[in-house]
Amino acid sequence: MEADNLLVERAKQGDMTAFSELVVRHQKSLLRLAFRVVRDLQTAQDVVQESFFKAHQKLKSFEGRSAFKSWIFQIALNTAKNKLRARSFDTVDLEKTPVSDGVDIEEAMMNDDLKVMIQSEIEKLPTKQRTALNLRIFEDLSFAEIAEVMACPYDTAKANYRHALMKLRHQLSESLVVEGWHNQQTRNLMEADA
Amino acid sequence: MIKLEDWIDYMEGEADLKTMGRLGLLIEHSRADREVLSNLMRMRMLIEHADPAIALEPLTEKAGFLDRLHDRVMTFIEEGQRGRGRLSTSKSSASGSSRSEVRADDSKENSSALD
Repeated sequence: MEADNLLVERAKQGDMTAFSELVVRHQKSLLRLAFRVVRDLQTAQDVVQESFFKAHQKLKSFEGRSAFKSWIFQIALNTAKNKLRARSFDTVDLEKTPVSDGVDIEEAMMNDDLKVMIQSEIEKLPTKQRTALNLRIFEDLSFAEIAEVMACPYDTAKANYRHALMKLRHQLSESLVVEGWHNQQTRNLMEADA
Repeated sequence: MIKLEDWIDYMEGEADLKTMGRLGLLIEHSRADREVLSNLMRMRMLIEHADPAIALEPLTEKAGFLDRLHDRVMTFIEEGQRGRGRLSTSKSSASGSSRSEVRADDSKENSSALD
């Protein structure tokens, strides 16, 4: 598979096939990223479209100091935040989200109330911490990549992630639901060890 | 007393070699420390499974959805290249519904991903 930076170089020369391949590679991640911010499928698709459009327009100024993925993530995050500013999303409408026909085992393990509570606690985190958490846990980015997306030093990216996790741990450990879940899991682990 | 930050670094594979060795020994010999790490990992998994974007998976796995999104993106770019002043953002959308419009030159954004 051709590396992103090679595709970028070809796209800079006007090769639309190369840019098309970059879209194929990153559109799904970008859609997820945007959806976490705007919580609306149509708007998330708009964010993906506008982000690639902006990236294409600015491609010549992209010097490749960071990875294309980090760059396009940064554009998408800013675009999604601008969408939020432009439109008022007061509440998260979970009913709008598509529902799976199949049953995912891990999903089934999680109580819906617990999921909503965790999402709510994540929403309460300061933006930088929430962004670092999202990129690390949901997108599986390295801290170096997170630093690029967030345009901050490596240690800052890591510190934001740590703070987010510690804050969530504190908030969630106060919930009986989580404690009960943890205890059950710990019991299961101990039984498995025995 | 081990700081929680160290456990987080350990879990993420970010601890230095000395800390990795020290925590590795604790995990081996202390049930309490094993539980600290286990609960931290469990919490990480809980967060992972609370990802709101998981709800998109059935849709993105559906045949044609990502192809349509790709076509929509490329059409938008090609129309922009043809120099249209205003471009509809609803081209080739999955729903076909009419949505907001965006100026082709609207690239105003923050220089940083941070607030």
